[in-house]
Amino acid sequence: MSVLYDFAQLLYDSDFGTALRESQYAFPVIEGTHLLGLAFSVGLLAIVDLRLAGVVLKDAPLLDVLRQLRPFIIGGFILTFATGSLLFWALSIKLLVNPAFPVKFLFILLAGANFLWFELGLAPGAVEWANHAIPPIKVRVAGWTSLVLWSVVVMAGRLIPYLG
Amino acid sequence: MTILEILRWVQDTGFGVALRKSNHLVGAAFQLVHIIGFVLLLASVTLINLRLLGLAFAREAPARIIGAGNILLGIGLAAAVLSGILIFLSGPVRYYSNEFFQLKMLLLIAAVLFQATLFAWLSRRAAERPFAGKAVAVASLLLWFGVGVSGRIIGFV
Repeated sequence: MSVLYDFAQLLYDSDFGTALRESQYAFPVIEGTHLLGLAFSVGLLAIVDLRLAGVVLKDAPLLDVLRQLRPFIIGGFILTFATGSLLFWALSIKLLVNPAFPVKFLFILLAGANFLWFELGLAPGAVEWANHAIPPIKVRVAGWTSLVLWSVVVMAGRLIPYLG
Repeated sequence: MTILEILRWVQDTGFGVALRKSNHLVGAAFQLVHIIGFVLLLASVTLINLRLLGLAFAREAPARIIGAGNILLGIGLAAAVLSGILIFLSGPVRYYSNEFFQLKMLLLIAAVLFQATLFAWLSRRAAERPFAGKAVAVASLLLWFGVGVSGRIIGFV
């Protein structure tokens, strides 16, 4: 753990981290870009999740929804992760002691595990249900689980300034 | 009465005072609804406009994607506006004097009006007039993401 704290302290004290933290415009612009990335990543993924759950776009083939939105979701996650890393660089040590931050990371890991379960466990059997308006229960559960887990990630992130 | 006087009066009503004096986690709860609503709103706008731009669901009729997107857009906007009103009422004078709040409100009004009029009209004709469909898609993305980004900056100035 102390290695992590030492590393965070190093980032916090670095010229770049300090400049970012104290900048009048760069920091809010990165926050804004983080939100923009979220809309593409978590936001478009939520639409895919709702399709998996059988709630929206029921007449569009499921595999089509997955494939069509995938590049934008991946691009969104890259943007979210890149801006998130910059925010961590600026705030590092303050984030490590913030109770919302570990919760956010725990739920990112849980959402990642749910994604792996879907990709490796459920997606290979997709030919059987890909064109159904309402997919089988396991797939619907994976969709709802993703929706809830990512919502918690976003909410925990928004709570960071309130619990710091 | 000027707007500022009206806002001062709102701020001093029992409701305004109760909101301001409530636990800061109550304010945080409104922010959580606001951000979730906003992410859903921006994702729906993105979905609709990716279709109009021909970047996703090119094989689906635009109306089908726009119809599904509009329902989610409505839910996201309702959640964001209702929670936003409560956040605003917790400090109306402070928000009103914030230049990024003013920018956000101008962009929000422009985005809603645009989406309900020109966008609704031209996006329905996107199949016959793809260029017009693309032009309103770009304008819609800029307006709605402008609302989001300017809103995110409010707390920093």
